[in-house]
Amino acid sequence: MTEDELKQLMQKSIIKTSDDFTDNLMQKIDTQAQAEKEKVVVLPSFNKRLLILSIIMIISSRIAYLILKKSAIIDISVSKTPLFLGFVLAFLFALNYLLKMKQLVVRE
Amino acid sequence: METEQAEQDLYLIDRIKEGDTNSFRQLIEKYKDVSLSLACSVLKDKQIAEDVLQDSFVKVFQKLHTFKGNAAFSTWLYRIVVNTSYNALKKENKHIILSENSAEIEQLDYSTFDNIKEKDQKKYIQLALHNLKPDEALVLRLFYLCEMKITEIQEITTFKISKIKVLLHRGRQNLNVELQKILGKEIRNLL
Repeated sequence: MTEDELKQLMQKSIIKTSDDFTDNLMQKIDTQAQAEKEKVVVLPSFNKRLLILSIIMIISSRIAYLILKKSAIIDISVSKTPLFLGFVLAFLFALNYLLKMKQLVVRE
Repeated sequence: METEQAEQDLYLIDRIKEGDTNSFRQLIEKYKDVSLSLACSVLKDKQIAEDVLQDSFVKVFQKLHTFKGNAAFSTWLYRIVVNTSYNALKKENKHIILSENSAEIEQLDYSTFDNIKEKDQKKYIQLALHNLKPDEALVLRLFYLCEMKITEIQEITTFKISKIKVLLHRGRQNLNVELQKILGKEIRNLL
């Protein structure tokens, strides 16, 4: 059998799908897309999230400050400024994340 | 021709990304039969292969935004189809053997073969491929039916180039043997 003959034969080996294949598939895709849309993540409002974030940041910075100041185990003196700067940066990072989430919700 | 097809695919993909599901229907129509043939090469059962193909197309739809267009869409699609088929085969943990096809061939009357009709030709070649090992049938179909280059087959199957060449060589031989078994001397009429 030559290569050309084999190629001709193999072209005939194609198997056809059932008649309703595409319709069933499109229906499946539509159903999944619909289910995805209905998956609403219930989040508190932006203002509430911002308030929660601020409270967490204030409490955690205070705790960190006290631990570093009074701890007998961790004997390192950390001045207030870099600690404060670190927490401000973390706060801004978290705030940026919240804003991005807000934008995504608005787009949807 | 290939470039034209690739451009057409990219156009459809762009439209799908913009939310036009009808373009996805066009892509399905274009590739469904060849994809089913590839899945059947691995799974040896049309019904299971159709189910696997449905899953493959759903995956394609979900991951279409990750398709960058570096390779041809067909290569990307066939890779997903082949991977999904092999995963399904692993789950089944056996090679599914279709008894229906075997029964069908037994009923054929060999004495009436003056000229093997187109429909019969398809049946024999499909049966012969069905009797081949999944890897051999898959590589043969990719090479001759999809007209893929060996490097593209490597990309789709992740087989080594040497393995692909061996599979092609053995596949050709075994296909010939299977056709001889089915048709005997009538094989000349098939060609």
